[in-house]
Amino acid sequence: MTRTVLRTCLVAAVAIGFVAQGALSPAPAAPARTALTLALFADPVSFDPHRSNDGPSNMMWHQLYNTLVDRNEKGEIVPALAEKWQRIGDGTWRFTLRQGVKFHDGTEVTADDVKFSLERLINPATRSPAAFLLTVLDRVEVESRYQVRLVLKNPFAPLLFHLMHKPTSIVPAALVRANPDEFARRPIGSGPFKFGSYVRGDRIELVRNPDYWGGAPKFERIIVRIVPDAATAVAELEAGGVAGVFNVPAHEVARLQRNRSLAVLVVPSHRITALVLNMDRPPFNDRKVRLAASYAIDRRATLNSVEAGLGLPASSALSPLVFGHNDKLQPLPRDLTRAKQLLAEAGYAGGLKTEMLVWNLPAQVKLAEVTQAQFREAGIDVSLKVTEFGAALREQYAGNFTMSTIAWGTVTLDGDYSMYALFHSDSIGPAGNWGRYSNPDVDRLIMTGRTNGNPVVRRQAYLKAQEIIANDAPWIFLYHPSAVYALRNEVKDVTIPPQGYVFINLTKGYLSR
Amino acid sequence: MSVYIIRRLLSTIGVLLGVSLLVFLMLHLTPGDPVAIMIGTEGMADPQMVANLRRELGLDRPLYAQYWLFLRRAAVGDLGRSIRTNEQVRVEVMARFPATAELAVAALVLSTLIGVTAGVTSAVRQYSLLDHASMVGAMLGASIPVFWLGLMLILLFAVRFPLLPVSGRGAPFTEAMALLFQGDASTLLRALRHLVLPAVCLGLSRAAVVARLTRSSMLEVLRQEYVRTARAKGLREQAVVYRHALRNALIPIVTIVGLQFGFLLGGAVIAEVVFSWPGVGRLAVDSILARDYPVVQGCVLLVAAIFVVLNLSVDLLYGWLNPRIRYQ
Repeated sequence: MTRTVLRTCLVAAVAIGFVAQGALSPAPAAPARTALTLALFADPVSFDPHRSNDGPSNMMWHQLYNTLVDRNEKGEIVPALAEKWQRIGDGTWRFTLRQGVKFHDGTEVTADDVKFSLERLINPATRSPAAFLLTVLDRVEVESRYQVRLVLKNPFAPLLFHLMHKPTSIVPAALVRANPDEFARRPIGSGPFKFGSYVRGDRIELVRNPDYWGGAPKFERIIVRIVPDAATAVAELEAGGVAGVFNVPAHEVARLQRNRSLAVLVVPSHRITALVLNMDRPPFNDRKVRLAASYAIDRRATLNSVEAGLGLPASSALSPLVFGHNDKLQPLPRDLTRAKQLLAEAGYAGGLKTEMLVWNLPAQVKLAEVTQAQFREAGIDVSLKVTEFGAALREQYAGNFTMSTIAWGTVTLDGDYSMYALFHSDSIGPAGNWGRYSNPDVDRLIMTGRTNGNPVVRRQAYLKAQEIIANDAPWIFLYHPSAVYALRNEVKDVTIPPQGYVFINLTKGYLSR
Repeated sequence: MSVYIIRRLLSTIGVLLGVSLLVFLMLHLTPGDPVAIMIGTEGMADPQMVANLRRELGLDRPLYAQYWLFLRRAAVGDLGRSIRTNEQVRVEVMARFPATAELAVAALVLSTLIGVTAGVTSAVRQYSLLDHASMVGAMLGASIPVFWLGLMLILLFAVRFPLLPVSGRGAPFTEAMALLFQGDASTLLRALRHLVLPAVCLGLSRAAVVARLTRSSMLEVLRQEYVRTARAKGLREQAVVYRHALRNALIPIVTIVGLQFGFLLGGAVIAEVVFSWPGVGRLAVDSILARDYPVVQGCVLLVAAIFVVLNLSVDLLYGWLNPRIRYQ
């Protein structure tokens, strides 16, 4: 009996050894040197740029398509499909297209495709959750084969920042019209990489576009593996199974930095983590209570416990990366005496009880617990209402909360994106102003920033608006978390701009050995 | 017997109807809104846009109307389209099923082999060191959380000692087998290497259950008179244990192994996340998080249908194991 068991074990061991041995001999199917493998934490929702607005999809669109304009590494707007552009009236822009740009199927990109793409994005029947990018667009007029005119409903200064955002990508009109489902399965764009294959939940393969108008990329192929678990992704990176990871957990940074075969990039981001206070409800309808709550918080300590210290304490919704950021404003220091005094002045000398609505995402829950402890020391007793993400959003849209966590990003890197959505009174509700903040002076300044064509005037307007907001204290600004990426050292010349991993530039990269 | 099978298959429809109604209600009555999740926090949604989206997706209709529509479509084999990706649910679910089936079968084979071997050994050598060791092992196996075991396996066998790949699916098995017949064994080898860690991870916890059950079932049978008779007539111990005892001890084991497969299909979720395995479990989780109702519905219906068919197969197996069992 024992002998049988032993024999079975031996056979099993040999079999496993045989299978494992494959690791030592080079696998024939191993990717060639010119293939780059990256890990992505989720499947892209769609390859059709007008169908979703999630990060992974945006990253794919960035490789497959082009927008009218782009940003360079310095953050300046540069030509992409549009060679030049001109504001020809208060709400009218003319774009002249680069000639001879080909889609991956060989047809030329023309003004018809631009009209079709932009109007498709905002058509309600398309169901794009990114239609908000161009709600200001009334119609697109084709002036010639290479010229379009964008007619807006009202003047809109940050138009170019919105037109570099990936959901405004230009798609081949004829193909999409003929069969949108097939197009979403086998997308055709004009970008540096062509679609190769996709196995949902497993991997995406992109193939180099040798005819790319911006210069053919060096990588032959890009393989994007879907690795949902961050710990697994990091293990893959260390084992060399993937060469890049974009969701490195903050607590892993110190350990990975000691690994000589990796480059860990901790970069400032355009994101803000904050607490929103509901201005329509007691107790936060009283400015003194809002300020007291703000003084109760130790921003640096919160950043340390939630994000392992990777980030910057905040004084505004706009991070230093964003156009219009006010660097004169200082993050509020923790001052418990001041907080208690303000509470007493507001009639809460004996302390106060309130509630915080929290998304049921691990980082948000941790943030809530850390701030809850700090509030308690100031005499503010906060109970946490941890709610499923989608359900919490509905409550926030409707203003059914007293205090709530929020994580937001200014993806366009232009002040308007956040200032209008978060603090203009027109945006009260789902648009982003969940705390129902309303100040006519701020509204006016935000509209100046939104409509005035002069960058100097715009910047002044945002600086002033942020000052007023800091004074009104509708939010408790906490910090701008850093983004953390890790690449293997053999990856060269792959750049990730401040807008985030979504805009990763793979056109010049290569692998060194 | 064929009447029995037909009757059982017909009752499947009732089960699936019940399951679909239950899942439908559970999904729609739990808080969460697919449109809110689609727009997320960084979309500046105007209320008109939110309303449009909801109408386009048919989410503004009353629940009974939505369910009725679902049934009418399902009756002709159309499970609808995904809210998120707009892809047909049938296509999405069936594309992911082979991966899960592969993993579940591998884990099942592994857990049965380990479990039955350990259980029989323990029973034959009751109270020996081997018995205690394998039962302690079984207790550990049953109590270790799958995600922790998975990460430990990865760290040990893929990072510290890079013998096996960290995660991912090497190649679809059907494709690998087809290539094997054309003389290319490397694809199959790659598929197997990717399969080892997730299958071990998933199989170990299940092996524990099988081992304990086999042990108790064997112990009971070994005390039966016919076993003593078999020994008395001078049969070799091996023949006594395997031909006389094990076969009779198998009925409860077959039941549990059959049901295990169902559990493995469902329990594969965690292993699929840890090992980036592109199966139905992960599709279900992603869809639940996004409140993608039609896809969740499709995943659950598929697993339920398999569960029902497996149950039937297990019942039919009893008759082969024990000819005294009759079907009516």
